[in-house]
Amino acid sequence: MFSWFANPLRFMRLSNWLAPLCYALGALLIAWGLWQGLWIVPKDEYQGGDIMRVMFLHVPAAWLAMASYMAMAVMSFIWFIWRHEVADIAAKAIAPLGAVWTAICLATGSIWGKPTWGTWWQWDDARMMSVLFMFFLFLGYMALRASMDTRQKAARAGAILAMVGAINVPLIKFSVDLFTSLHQDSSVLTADGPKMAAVYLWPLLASGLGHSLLFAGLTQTLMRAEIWERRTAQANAKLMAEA
Amino acid sequence: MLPDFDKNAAFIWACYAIGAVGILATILLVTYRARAARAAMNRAEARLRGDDAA
Repeated sequence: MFSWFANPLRFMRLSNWLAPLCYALGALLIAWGLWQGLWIVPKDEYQGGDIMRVMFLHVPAAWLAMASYMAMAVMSFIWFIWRHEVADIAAKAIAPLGAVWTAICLATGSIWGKPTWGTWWQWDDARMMSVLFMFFLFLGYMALRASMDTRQKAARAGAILAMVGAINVPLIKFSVDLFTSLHQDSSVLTADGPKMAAVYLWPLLASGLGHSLLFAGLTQTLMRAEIWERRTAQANAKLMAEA
Repeated sequence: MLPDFDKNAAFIWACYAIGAVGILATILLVTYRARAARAAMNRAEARLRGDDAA
């Protein structure tokens, strides 16, 4: 299966129609989730009143931050074992996008924290610190790749950092159960199923899926750009050799 | 018409403004990079083919 996806030409044909489809479906789902979250669902007094409406952006951003890091680590693993170039291109494309969604998660979480907990930031909160650490891992991954003088070295160093850093993802997920945290326990992804009322759950899931599809579309577009840049470099190298 | 969020309005709209600006800026930058990469590839491959117009 990996070999089927490893062919750049096959990926270009697939992403030519899949990326626009991801954008369109993602925009529709995000718009529906936002409309429900901001205009339709009732405020929850137990969760601090209207401020809980930040959930429809903050929680999808947090899910995507973790999922994107895992995707980057899995792509790095596939490159590390099978040396499929498309997997390395995918890992490289995911990093800046993952950093953006992690930054949105941190910023919206901080703003939500002020009226709810009375603080913008808590340095001994395990979840906040582990997400901040993941943000630095994304930045570190990009910086490490950029510092290498060949593409192979960049891919190898980046893959090792991505795989080692993946240990932080379960730490984020279980940080509220294992360590001190201002965050509440999991209320959607639990062993007993979601604890959240359906009126909040469906818009949240729609928003989460919408953000994921938008992220997938952007990843494919960045991968296409990277493949075009590599083809440009090859063409320029041939021109130099002929000159 | 915008909903009324009372005392929390500034916090809620600040979050959504950050999200909108962050995501829209990312979409613009990614689109720009892809278009520039495609144009550069077309120019390089045209030169390789010996197309003077490139």
